Amino acid sequence: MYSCKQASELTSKAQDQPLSLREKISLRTHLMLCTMCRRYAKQIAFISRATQRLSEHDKNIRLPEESRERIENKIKQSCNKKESN
Amino acid sequence: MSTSGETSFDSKKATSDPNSWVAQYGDALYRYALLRMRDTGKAEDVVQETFLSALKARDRFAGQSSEKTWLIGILKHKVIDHFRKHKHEYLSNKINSLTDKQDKYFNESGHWNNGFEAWSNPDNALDELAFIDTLNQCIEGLPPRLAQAFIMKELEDYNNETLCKALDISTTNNLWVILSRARTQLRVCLDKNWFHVEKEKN
Repeated sequence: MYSCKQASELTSKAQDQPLSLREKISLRTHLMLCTMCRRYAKQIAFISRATQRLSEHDKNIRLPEESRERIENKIKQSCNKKESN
Repeated sequence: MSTSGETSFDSKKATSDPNSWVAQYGDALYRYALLRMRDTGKAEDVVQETFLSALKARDRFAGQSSEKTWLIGILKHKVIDHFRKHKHEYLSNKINSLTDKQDKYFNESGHWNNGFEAWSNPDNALDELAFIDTLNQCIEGLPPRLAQAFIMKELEDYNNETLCKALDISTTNNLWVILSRARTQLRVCLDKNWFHVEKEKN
């Protein structure tokens, strides 16, 4: 029988890859009996959904002006070098 | 959508004028890098490296993907390369030293030390900017290695071996442990700084 600690590790692993049949059965049995771990599973699944949405919220982040100029100059230099070769 | 002429799909399959790259793609590449590296200086550096590498590899641009996808592909390699080259910076958080932290959530027999409550309608928070800020701060608050592993696993499709190598994690088993620690700490952080606060408000 899994402890909550083991169950939480498997719950997390299940977010990233399919569990083996044995792991699945053990986890399911634990979750059936444990309210707290069911809650944990729901909450980390939500955290995953929320993390996927992070990139939708950074639209007003812009490459800083200084870097913009620096990189543009480097590209220009490289292009000129190529042409003069 | 790309306007015609800027992204070329004609038979020559040439890239657009490199002098227009920063204006066209600078922000998108920077956002991509910043989300994964969580450090403005490092993100700026890999964006620069990406453009310069792309310039050298220009002749190999096949035009099968869009120019932006091609550049993001190069950037993706630069990001993982950066982690690999600078892994000593993230090494201060040895797994052993993290064990103590995790253990405060469980007692000796492996049961939760403290009970916690269900979150009601958490998905409502997804459109709130303040919630996204809180999530970002919680990720920021993780030990660097945990944050790195968590973000890269959630946002990328690297295989486990590549990720372990880049982040200097010795076995995939350790990767699972690290990820579960990251998620447990994030759960506690969001519980305390968002869901608990929201509940008090009502």
